[in-house]
Amino acid sequence: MKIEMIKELLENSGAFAWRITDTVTKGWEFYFIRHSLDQNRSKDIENIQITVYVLSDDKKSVGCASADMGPDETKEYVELTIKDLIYQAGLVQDQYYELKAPGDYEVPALEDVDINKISGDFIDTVKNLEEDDEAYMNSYEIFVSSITRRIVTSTGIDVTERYPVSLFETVVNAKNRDQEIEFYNLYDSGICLKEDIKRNVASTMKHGRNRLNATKTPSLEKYDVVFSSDDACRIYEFFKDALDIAYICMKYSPLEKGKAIAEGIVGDKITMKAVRNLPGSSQNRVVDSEGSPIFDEVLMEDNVPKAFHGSTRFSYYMGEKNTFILSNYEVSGGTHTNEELLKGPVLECVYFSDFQVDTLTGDIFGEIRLAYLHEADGSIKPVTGGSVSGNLRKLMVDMKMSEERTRYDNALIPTLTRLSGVTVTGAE
Amino acid sequence: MKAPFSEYLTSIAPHVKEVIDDLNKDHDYVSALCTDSKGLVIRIGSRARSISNKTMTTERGVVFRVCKDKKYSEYAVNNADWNDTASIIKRIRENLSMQDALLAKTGSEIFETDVLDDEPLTFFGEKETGSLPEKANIKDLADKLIAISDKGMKMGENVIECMANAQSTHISKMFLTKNRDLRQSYVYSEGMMAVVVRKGDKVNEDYKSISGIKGPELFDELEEYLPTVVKNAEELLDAEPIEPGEYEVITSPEVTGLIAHEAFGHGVEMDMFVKHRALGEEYIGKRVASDNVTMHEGALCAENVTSYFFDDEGVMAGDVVEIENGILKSGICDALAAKRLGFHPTGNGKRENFAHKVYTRMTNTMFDSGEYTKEEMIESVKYGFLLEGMESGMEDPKHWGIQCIIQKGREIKDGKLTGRVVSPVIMTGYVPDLLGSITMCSKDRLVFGSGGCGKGHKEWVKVADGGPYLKTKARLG
Repeated sequence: MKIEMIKELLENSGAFAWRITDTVTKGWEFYFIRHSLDQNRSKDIENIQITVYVLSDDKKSVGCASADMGPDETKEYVELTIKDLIYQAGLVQDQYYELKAPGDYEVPALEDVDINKISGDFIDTVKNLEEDDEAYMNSYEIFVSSITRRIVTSTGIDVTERYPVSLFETVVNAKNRDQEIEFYNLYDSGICLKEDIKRNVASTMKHGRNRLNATKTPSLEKYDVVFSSDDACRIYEFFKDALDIAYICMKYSPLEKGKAIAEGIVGDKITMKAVRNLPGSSQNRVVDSEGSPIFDEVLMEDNVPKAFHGSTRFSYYMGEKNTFILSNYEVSGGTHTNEELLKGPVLECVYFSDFQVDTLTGDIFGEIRLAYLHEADGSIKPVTGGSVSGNLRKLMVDMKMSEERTRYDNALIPTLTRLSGVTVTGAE
Repeated sequence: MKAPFSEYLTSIAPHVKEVIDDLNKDHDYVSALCTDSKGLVIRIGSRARSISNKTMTTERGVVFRVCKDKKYSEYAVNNADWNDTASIIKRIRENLSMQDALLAKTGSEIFETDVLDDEPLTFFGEKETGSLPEKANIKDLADKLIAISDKGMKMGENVIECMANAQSTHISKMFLTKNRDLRQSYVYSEGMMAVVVRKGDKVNEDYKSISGIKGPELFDELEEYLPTVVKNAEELLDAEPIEPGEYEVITSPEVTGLIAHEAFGHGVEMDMFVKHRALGEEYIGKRVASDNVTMHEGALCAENVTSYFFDDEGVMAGDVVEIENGILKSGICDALAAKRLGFHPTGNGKRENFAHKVYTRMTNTMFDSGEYTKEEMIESVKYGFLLEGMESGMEDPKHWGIQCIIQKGREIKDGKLTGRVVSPVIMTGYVPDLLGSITMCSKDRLVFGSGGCGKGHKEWVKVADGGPYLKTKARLG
């Protein structure tokens, strides 16, 4: 009812274009210390965002202003807000662009998301994990939401989708007589993926036990480094962002369609694809946040950009008609087995404090919480401390990827990624 | 002028109290945090401009917290008809009942916690501000930012983008229980400019942010920084990687603030003590830094973006001395964690917004000043770096590891800056080693409040931090 009222007000407002995004969230949350309930929470909230576009008198530029509001605002308030938005949009004019017309897509019928069942699945799964005195769950937090999102635009888009979004935070501890350590993880998913949780927590516990025996990372200067956890997503996000139409338009990214991203590549080449539906992902949608249809599309093939992704405004500027804001992506597997990539000497990093890749500069950095030093003779030693750094624009020349792939929420990427010539600062 | 308290919250207060009274019939404790915070954001770039009313802290809603049989539960709502409190009460009870049924079905034990204190307290506070975001002259502000962006685009041959952003938030919060009625209103603002430069395929950027417990009048201060930001960005194009190693360093106040935040900000959030997730628990009363280090944390110890009168649990703001002359004195604590630890709440219970849980969170985390000038400190360095520009940080309270991503280091040789710039710089190490090596602190100090802080990798809240220039030894890579 409210949305229809806002729609009518916008239609009569004189705005050049407009968009309404109505998001209704019903969420349950459970917080545990060890396995005792710290507290339980429930939320029932709605947010309405109105975006208004105003055309200049000479029709050469467009301004944009938006307002978020709760569902309990009066018609008078909404009317006044729209009037304010039209004035504000007139103050911040940009080069002309248009909103997209409705795309060709089928929206699934709305189905209930059972947050009670999903929450129960999480609680049951965690309570039945294998733990012992040496490695155990310190604490965990479960967030389960049913989100219903409706996007309506002046160009005729009117799409409502309902989907589950879950967030599961774990702190896994390992201890011996001398010390106790912890590893923190945050997992996004749609529903509760029981087997993924079991596998991930078991793997974290294994790493935790090894961390208890880790020695300080030696200074390795320039070294081969393997990324074997979700931190590798940061590496592929560098390429994903470089393919963002805004980065291209603003000249932040040097990529061009049809031209290889670098010369003299001696490692594997990257093939990256946008995918609308990635099983298990929390980001499976029919349309993006602007109402543009999402579809499967090859963005880069063997290091050669084929298509860009991104928002309506920059797509229009660059003459790209069919872009959308990327949600899920996959990277094709490389040419190497896991065994080949872990052949020493190499440092396999499994936990960082916070591994980052600056998508503008390509700089990489991360403090090592746990890594395995694979020696040439096949021996493996856990190490901790120190850091890795370097620049991906240079490091991508010799980047090797595994054939095997692993999914981390919205990204399906090679299980192992090996870079040569990474600077490893020791902790000794 | 005073930042006026929300008329909306005033209007719903009697209805919220009705709900509290009803829930109190069969609960041991009931509180409601009610929020109505309005904002203004203007983003200006060379190709993308926009205005909105949504900042990191704009919100409107109510969260009820109840305790029954030593179990705490919450219900957050923003789509209620406050003229129909019966239906709100019904929704709360139904949701809590369904969750209780699930907890019983899964055999979940309760982490029992005593009832929170509810001593009678009434407070009404409106902070001074020069102007309000909802009443700002938006045309003047937009024109001012467009002029900065346009000017920046013409400065320096390599500039490809100059962004000028301004955001201001008018916070109104009301905390109600059977015995408490606390209401507060204040305005804080943040301005930021960023310059992106490109030479060949090399791209970099520099930025400057300003913040304060002020209205949009703050943005008048932004333009003066433009030449420095452009110069710094251009410098980064020719910066070299640093040779990894341990160096004498002088941290600029924003880097000092980052260290404060990561080292003994997160490290002494006492909800982590409840879970035994922080080493600080075992070090109260022990040395963790050199004699030169004194550190404060609290909404009262500086005036910046998170300097409120009371926190999201209805606890009045504090000023905690965390470290005094190198000795760890105290942590910071939310009300629930305090009850569990037999401690006292310090006014650090914060939510991302009304729909999120309370955790122990930082407000202003500050190193105290010392007795030296910046110049004296640089002169004392044989070989090392002046570290400038805060990018990000990450703590490890369980092991006191620290990671700070710093934008650049300016080389110092024989007490003089050489003009050589290294970038980026990653500073890592063991917190007591880093703080234990602090030998000099400058007389002046600055506060920075433009950043956000997560708990783990979520739950983002506003924080401020800062301090003086510090001289210490650090491992850089």
